[in-house]
Amino acid sequence: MKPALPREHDRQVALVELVNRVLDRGVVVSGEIVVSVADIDLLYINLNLLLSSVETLRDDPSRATKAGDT
Amino acid sequence: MGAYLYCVVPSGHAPPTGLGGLDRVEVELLEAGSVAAWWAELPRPPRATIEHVQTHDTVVRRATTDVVTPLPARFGQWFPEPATLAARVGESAAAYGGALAAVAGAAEFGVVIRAVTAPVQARAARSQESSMGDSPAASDVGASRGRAYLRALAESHDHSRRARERALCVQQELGGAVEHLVRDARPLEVSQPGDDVARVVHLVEGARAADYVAAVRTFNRPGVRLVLTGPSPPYSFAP
Repeated sequence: MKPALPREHDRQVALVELVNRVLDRGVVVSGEIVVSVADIDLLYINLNLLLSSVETLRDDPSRATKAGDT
Repeated sequence: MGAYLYCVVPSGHAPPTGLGGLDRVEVELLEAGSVAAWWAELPRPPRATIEHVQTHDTVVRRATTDVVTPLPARFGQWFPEPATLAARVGESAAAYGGALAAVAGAAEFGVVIRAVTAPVQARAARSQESSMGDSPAASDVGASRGRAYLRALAESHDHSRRARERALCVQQELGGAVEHLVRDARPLEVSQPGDDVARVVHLVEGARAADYVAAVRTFNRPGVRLVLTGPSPPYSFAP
């Protein structure tokens, strides 16, 4: 198994941090927020999984097709 | 036509001409009392995708200059009419004015403190396999596996507790090391499972950003690794 490069890992952390912050922080003027996620931690975990999946597919694009076939 | 909010800015701080936001709709200025808002027409609330979140952030970043730092709006705030948006922002104009002054000329940096010790789960699995192989009698296998499982569980909890304590200690030391470079600091909640053990955000003036980055990058402590993010708009310091 190929070890993750720290720089790539840091890039992923930065993206997760950004998304998490934009969804969870900032001025709230309206109660009508689309992302009305009460438990932001769940979203955070899902984003981590999603980003990991994206990286996996980038490494081996054929997996996307295989996944789509099943 | 609906209105989507990007950020709150000082009155008169207009977006550059042609700046496109979500759905490539041009971002406009809307005065709201003593402050103003960057907004754009949007027929419906946006879907929460990574691309949309990044677009929202890009627009907010464009509102940042050497002297103006916007108050970023949390993603997803949509109003049925621009007038409703202006009224809601105007209601809190005094508070937003004070917050804009507090973040002016500064940016947010984040530090994620992560444990670098070997995962306990791997050691637990090896321990379990080993205990199974050592047990000659079939009746002992179950008890042995149970003991190994409980040992692994206890070890995992102990590891998490130690990592958390260590990270909080490092977070305090880091706070002391950069105290003279930051305008404000806030620890962020970490409750997800995994190896993120502490997170903190710092509000740093533009003139001190380079020194701050250098200080964090040269801050080394055994057992943890620091990941620095930013600069970004001050999402964590918005009221």
